[in-house]
Amino acid sequence: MSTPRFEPRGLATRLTCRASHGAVLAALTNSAAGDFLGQRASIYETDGGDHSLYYWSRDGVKYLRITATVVKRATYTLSDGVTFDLSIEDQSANVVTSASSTIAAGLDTTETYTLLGNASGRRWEPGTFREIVWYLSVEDLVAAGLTAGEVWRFDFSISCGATVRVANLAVQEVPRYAVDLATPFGQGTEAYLPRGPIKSTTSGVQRLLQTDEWAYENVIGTYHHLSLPTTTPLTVASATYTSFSGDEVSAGVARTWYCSPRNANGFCRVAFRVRYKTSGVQGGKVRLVTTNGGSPFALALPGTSNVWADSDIGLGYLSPGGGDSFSFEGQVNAGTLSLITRAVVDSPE
Amino acid sequence: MTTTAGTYIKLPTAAGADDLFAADLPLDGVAQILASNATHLSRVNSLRSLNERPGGQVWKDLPTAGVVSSFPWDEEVTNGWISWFGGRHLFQPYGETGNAPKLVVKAMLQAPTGENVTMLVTASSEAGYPGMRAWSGSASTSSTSPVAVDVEIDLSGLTQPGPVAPMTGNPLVVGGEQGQSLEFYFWVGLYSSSDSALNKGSVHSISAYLENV
Repeated sequence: MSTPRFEPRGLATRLTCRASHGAVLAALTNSAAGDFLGQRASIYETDGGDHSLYYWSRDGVKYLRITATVVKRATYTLSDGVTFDLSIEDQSANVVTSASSTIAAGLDTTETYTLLGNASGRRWEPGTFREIVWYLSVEDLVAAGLTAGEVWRFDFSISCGATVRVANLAVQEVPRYAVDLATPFGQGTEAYLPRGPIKSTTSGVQRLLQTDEWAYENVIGTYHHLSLPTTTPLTVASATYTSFSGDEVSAGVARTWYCSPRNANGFCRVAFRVRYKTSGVQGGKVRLVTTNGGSPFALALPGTSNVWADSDIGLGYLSPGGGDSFSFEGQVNAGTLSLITRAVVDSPE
Repeated sequence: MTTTAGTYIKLPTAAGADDLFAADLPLDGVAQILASNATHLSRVNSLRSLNERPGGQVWKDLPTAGVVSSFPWDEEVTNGWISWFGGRHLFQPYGETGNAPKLVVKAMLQAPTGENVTMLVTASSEAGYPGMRAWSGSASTSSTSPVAVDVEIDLSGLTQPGPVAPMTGNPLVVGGEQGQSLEFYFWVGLYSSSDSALNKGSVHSISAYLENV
């Protein structure tokens, strides 16, 4: 749980490069790539329903952790509980359903998560909430048919009893705790033993560079992830850009969201995607409005005739070097544009 | 001494035609860039956004303003307070410095006329009813126009690592990589001094993220 401190001047030209230099460099690059995996997709609260979440998959991430917290609402009725059903679909329409052995037990509606039954206690006191943790193996999901490198859509069907709800659900990447040469990054310190040869191959110093590159390109954060049930979408019914109903400070004024953009090299490119439908054949647009000079960043949404669909991937820029803010606006050529999922993540270039 | 140039410097692709680490090439200053890059990336990669919630209206007050244990964390939003569990999150110290990041919760608040709206944030390494053992902070506004208000919580006191032991599949099998990481939970509470449903304040776009201290 710590990143080594390394003085680069120890590697200056004409200085003796020692085995410890390579070993510490390996530990340092491993830390940059594996310690801080942090992409997440989340539901801030739900009383049940069908939710979709987006996850930008990458080869090299080993596990995803799903946490859900079941809490009581009102006076708890014994036997009230929550069931979860998860299926995952990639951009190539490959689907892994909850019937697959790769989906963790309990995410297939066979288990009802009830509380211990402290009906008189305040919510968050013992017995009035229950944390559930599941893990998914990314490698197993890929072996089951999903494509690494594509955006995966997690479809949760959540059923809550009348006196319980899910206070929070999150899919989060798990840091790497071991070096695995079968994955695209990471190197053990044993590659740099005193008096041992240092290889120039991809199992030697080149692997350090690969790990550095991976840390830049693939340790991506999520700046925004909103997932609403299909029954209560955000909506727009305007032919010109305006705020979404359900996401506005006042009529026509979109809510401003906040973040701290990653400042790897002076700019912060982001990717964004929405799950949406249009009431008719006419399409619409959504745009990400940031403080960057190139804003707004628009994304066309073809008409879907009332069927939920995934948008293409939009690209935009945030302004790094401190906190930034952004908002969303939409328009539709005719009818209503509805939106249930909205995600913004790093997209290094 | 400075350990990083403070920016990621792109090098030719590893194992590509111009790889500066190819056989028989001197390491020269390239390894310095590599080290600088890795140090810088471990810093910026340790920071990220955590969660968000749209908001709502508030009109109920607290018996003791600004005190975590005074806030009714079990109340429904429809009763005049907003009580939000922001989730359970892994975090790591801020790269080589070993400093923990700080939790920032920022939202747009709009107070009722002549009153305040206050945001209360509390973080703990354990789940459970937020109380005296949690770290907390608060911020208020009396602005009747929406303004950005933020609360920062130093996470350096949350040093209890938790196990991360994946068990995957159905039936469950023990995963191949296990370890431990620092973790914390956080809650956000919002209330208004008006204490009247006839005089409501508004809360928008609650955003939680990590920043360096």
